[in-house]
Amino acid sequence: MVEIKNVDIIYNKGMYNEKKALDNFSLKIEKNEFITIIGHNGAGKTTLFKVLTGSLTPDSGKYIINGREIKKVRSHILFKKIGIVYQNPDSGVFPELTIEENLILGKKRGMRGLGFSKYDSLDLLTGLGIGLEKRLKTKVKELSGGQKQSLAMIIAVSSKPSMLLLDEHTAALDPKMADKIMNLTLKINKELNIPVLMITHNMNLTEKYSQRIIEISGGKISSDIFAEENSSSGKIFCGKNMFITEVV
Amino acid sequence: MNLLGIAEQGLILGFVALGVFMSFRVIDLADLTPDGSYVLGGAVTVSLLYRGIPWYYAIICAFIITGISGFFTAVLYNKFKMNSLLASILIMTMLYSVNLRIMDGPNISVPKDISEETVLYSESTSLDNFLGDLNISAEQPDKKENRKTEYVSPFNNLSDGKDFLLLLIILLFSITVLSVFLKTDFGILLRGYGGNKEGVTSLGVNKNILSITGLFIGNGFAGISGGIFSLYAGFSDVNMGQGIVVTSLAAIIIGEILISRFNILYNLLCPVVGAVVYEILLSFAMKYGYKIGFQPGDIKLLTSFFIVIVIGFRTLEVKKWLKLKM
Repeated sequence: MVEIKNVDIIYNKGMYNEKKALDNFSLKIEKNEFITIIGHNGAGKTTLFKVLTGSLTPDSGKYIINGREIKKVRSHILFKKIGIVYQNPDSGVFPELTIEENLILGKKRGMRGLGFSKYDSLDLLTGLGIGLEKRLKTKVKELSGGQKQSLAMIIAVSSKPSMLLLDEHTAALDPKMADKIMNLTLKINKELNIPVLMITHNMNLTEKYSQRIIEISGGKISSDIFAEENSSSGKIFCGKNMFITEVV
Repeated sequence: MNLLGIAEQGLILGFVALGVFMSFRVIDLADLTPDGSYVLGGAVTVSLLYRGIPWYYAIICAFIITGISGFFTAVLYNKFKMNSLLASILIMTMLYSVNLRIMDGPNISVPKDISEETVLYSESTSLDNFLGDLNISAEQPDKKENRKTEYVSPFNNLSDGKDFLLLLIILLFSITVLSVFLKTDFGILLRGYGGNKEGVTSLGVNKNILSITGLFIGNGFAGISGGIFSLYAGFSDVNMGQGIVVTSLAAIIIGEILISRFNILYNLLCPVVGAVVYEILLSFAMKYGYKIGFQPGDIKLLTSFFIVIVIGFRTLEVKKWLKLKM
């Protein structure tokens, strides 16, 4: 379980252009949850992402992972607990290494049990259905953007992190590949029980795959809606004192 | 033309090229420290020989001490957020003074032999002569000289194949150790760091450790090379490292052109093969170059020019530009 509690982030504190990017922001991400964060530019999505990845230390509030408060945030220590996939497919993989070696590194998150090891996470790779499992000795720099992003996701979750953070991870992909990646995301969430927090602008993917959609505006949660499966009409989104929408 | 001697020099250059390969290719950090750590390796090795330490221990010490100079470059790069080139230039400049201090001068020659000082000899002074009648000097036993001579350097410079064999064994051993290391999980991480520096942080790994390790090993090999060169040539000079990074880069590029497509042992053979070929080309240029007005002092100009041409040809813009001109 990952939680941020009453977090404030203030840019240019004490200056004429002081801005509260996150205002008393609280969010609890439960096990198995698939949360999507949406919001217009400048709403506070990126700031929230930076807090969760340790790039920004909150001015006030708490950051708790599995019941333990993270006081001094250092990215490389935080990333032992959190898997992360960025928009750029190249940022999550190691292009000079083979697919097999990339998988080994994913398993060795935080330098655990270093030595000589064989690849793991082959099931996920096979499940993708894009044939990467047959090209284990291929250098990653020879792969396409979509293939790299799939591999980046598998690397990010190989060591079963406490949470998977996705920063517009399908933005650079074509719709077909984006769908495949989203199916993999769902599989990771459901089968590996890893909570997922995704930031996106793509409303189609959001409605199709998310269980919970949080809209941020002015550094605060402006709406928080949950999806409920309905056998007759597909997915129904509903929230406290909010509108109800249906997605078939 | 003594081909064996040229090959021997190529193998010595191979060590430093291996070190430069480690920093420039494996971890992808531009590091000029080897210009200073190469000399440091020689200075440490020769100084230790004077203290009676065997050459192989001296070389190991040179590896560690020059590795530490790489560690300091990495500290400037990581902690002071300096550009790796600036950090390495600063350490290289510092090493110039350090080397002068270690050698106690601009150069130092390798000791030819070691004397075990059980030097026993008889002493007589004018006072002894004066007191001779009193027979006081008889109480002092005669001292004998027992001088044991041992050849310090393992190289005989006779081009009889022994030097070549020894260099080849040390080099192949180093390549084997390095390739086994690069096959470990930490080695994979190190190679991964070269291609994606931020990516290793996403894996929960402190990337500083990786740059420190890479620069330590890279400069360590430059130190080994400097040490072996000093043993081979019989001296260490404060200016002998000038341009060694550029020479090593030329060797790496030649090696990559020749054998990188085979991807043997993570391309660790490229700098070594390239270094031998470079030395051969160099000796041809020295021997026959005068016919076209070539002078020994032009070597560095030609080496740098060669690197510019090869790197230039690899870029698409240059290829396009040449097509347009033709």
